[in-house]
Amino acid sequence: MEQENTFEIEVNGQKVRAQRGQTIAEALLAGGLRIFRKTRNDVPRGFYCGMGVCYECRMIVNGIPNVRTCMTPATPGCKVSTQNESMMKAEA
Amino acid sequence: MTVCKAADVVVIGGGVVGAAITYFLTRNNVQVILVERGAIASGTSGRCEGDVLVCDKGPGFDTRLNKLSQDLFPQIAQELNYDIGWTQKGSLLAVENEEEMEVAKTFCARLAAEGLPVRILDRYEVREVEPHLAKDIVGGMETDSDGSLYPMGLAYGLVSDAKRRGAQIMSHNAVLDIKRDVNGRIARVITQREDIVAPRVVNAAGIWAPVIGEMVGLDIPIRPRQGQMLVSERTFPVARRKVMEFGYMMAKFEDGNYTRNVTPEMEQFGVALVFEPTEAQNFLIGSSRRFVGEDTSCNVSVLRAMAQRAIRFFPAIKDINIIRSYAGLRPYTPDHLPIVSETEVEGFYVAAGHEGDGIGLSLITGKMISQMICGEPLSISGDPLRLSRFQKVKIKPFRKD
Amino acid sequence: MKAFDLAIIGAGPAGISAAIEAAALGASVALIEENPVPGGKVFGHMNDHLKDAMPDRFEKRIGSQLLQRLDSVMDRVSVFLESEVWTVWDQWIVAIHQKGTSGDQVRSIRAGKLIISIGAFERIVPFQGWTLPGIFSVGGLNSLTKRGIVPGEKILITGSGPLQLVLAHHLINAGAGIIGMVNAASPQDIAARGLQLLSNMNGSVLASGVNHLFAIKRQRIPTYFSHAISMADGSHQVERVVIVRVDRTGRPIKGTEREIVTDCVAYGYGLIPSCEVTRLCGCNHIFDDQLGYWKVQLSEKMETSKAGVFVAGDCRLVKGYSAAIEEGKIAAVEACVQLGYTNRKTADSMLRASRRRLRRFKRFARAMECISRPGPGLLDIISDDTVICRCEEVTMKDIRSAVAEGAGDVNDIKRRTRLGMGHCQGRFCGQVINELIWKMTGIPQKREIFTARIPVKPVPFGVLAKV
Repeated sequence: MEQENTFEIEVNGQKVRAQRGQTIAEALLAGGLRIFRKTRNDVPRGFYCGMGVCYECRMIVNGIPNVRTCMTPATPGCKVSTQNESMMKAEA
Repeated sequence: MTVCKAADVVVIGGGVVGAAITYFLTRNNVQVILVERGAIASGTSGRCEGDVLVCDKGPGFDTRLNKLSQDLFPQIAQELNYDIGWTQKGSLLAVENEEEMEVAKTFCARLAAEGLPVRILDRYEVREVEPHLAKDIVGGMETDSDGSLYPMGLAYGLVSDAKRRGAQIMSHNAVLDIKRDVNGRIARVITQREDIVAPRVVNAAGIWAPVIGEMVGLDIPIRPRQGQMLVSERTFPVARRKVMEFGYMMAKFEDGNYTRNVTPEMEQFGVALVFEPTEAQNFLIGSSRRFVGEDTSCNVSVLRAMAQRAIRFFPAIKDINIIRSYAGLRPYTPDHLPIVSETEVEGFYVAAGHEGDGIGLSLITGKMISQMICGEPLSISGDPLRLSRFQKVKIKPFRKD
Repeated sequence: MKAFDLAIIGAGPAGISAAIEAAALGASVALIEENPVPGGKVFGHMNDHLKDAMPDRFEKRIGSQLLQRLDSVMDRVSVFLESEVWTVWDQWIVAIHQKGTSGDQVRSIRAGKLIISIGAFERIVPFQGWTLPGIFSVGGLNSLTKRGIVPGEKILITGSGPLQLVLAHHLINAGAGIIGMVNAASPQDIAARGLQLLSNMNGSVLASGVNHLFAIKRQRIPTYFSHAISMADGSHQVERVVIVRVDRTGRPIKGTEREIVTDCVAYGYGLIPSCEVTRLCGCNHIFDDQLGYWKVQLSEKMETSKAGVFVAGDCRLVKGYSAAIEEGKIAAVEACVQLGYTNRKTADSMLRASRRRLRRFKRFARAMECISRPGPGLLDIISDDTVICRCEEVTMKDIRSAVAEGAGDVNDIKRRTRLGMGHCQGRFCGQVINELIWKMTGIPQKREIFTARIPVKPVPFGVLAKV
């Protein structure tokens, strides 16, 4: 029965365990991962308010950027990556 | 108020237009006092986009005026010791259907004849330069020289430069009255803090220009035309430069012969796509037009129509977050051209009424006012910009729409 | 569009209590909650299967009762979960962004009356390094711990406020390693308010408090009163902090700095009400000088200055779940009087006991808040490199430059530096920006707040397009 309650998600290409009902942020923190994004000046940031108002926990989830991982449930196989905002520039 | 200052020129209004006038006059060694009732760029200049465009101007005088102004930006951006975020990535007018495309080609040819760096793109080329455009967009018109900047930064930079060269800036200080001498010549400006003795006043007060005009008995036909804006979150680039819909211009110039394929709400609110990516890595979506007095609140109905129009052209944005909305008030004149001129009141000049082109026209306005005051030849004929052009026709009293 | 008599925004203790009472009186109710389960920050995770580290049997009992009563009126209350309210308009259409596995949904509902019960959020005073990963809000770390996640082994709890005790107790129960508790208040401050606190506590609050304190005492956790965190450092995450002794105003005392090695910091100076929805509705707000935050103006009927808009719970005054439950009841009954589901006389008799209990709760809360409120001297801890606006990375130095250029008010600073223009729209930086400007210019001016705008929370273009 333990198996049904846990599954795997992919974070920056690596497999990370998650429990049914956990948010993506919780799965990451449980797995010891704390850097969720980098600002446009390349400064690392992570989980802060835990209630969806600070947007510090935003990551790219299944290709969509700016997803609040503290408010988003982890789903089996979802792909999560660190959002590097210095890369979000248009070409000159 | 017995305390008194003196200046060659008092400029009223600390938005980009007033800032540019102060900058050019100061560089011409004119002693200027700039008076602003709030903070610098706290009016329309603090609630707009940073457009410096020629792509959407009427061929002829309008285009020439805007091009002259546009050409001043690269050098000013370099000279100002302030980061105004100036980029010159060009612009794109997106053409929705074949009927528009015919008009676009003619329009493009006229602008090209004026020497503008414009060209038509077909449906394949347009998607090469802007891959996120909806698949059914049939083409576009590119204008290489168009640019954008951070409008408040422009105002701060110009003011900062002028200050360094000796201009006095009085912000948080409203003008209460303007006094003339026995010959009807400008003599003194009464402000909240003190009086200023000056023979010349430039009214660069934007939507409040009529209030200043009344102080010297002048009727200035400027009314506020509200435009709402949507601000996106920081995200991956959607368009790499300014994109507007061509159809809007057709409605603007063709006077009712053409109707766009839009909802009644879009028509009612004058909604037309304007997409502006910013240096902050987010984008602004406009635009709308309503006459609602000095109301700067936003409405869900107008914003909804703007979002719908934006998604029509860039379907990908439907998943991108809006983090804020705001509204600005464009100083509108009946013929869509600004007023940049002397007046029948000796020593009183008007530099206002730029509607949605204030940022782009700020520099040429500053330069021309400086030329007028210093007796230099004007960069371009000032006739189409005279205040007196309105006084030939009986002006009807304003009614709120 | 479905129409309801009453829309309740926020299904925490206040909102749930309101829903129960309104439904019992016969009103049609929409209860809107952004999380996947109702209950709010206190009771939100009671029924999920994740590890529940909540040790407080009083909380458990009250929470269970409340959620059971909600269950019993489910047939009369429409509950919208995973639903974020992003604007309210046209007196009143509530615009809802409903998320979920089937993608974003747009829902709007019409409501005759509104009860806003969206709760509170963390109060902060920035310090150098506070944006490092591994530094959590006290509430945020508390939520994680209650769900079985302890993201560190050398945990330091800093700031002030009763939530520290709750967090500490939950961490202890989870077997976590707390290396210290740092509180800006002094024992003298607490003692001075002690009589006020004791005389206004009710039985369960007293018992809870004692419960927390004993658990902490048993663990022998080093406690530093009259201290505040002044700096955090680490290469990509927090690795060490510096704490400093502060005087009664919060001003740091030079030479008393000490370094603490840590891998996880909880940081916050209590909670402040969330006013964004009431401000967007156009309700009047005033700044409470004693408590140090903006609050919506309210009548005895829990009604704001906008007729038909009511408020209940921590989003008005931070006072805990017991008070919130009473306020939810009062707001619901008063709304039902306006809707015609009950009359004045019945309402007054129904609410007599609640009003009485509420008066005590509020006195207690005020005394508690006065201990937790960060003193003005704490601003002296802020170094030039300190980030003030987290979203746009605006530092103290940037603000100083803007002031030197002539900026004298909040909106001017905002235009020049982009402070307040990010995702959180000034929620955090807005708490200190007025004081910082006054300090820099030496001119105390009128306190300013960022204009409330649509949307109150970020919302996708596609959702606005379909509203």
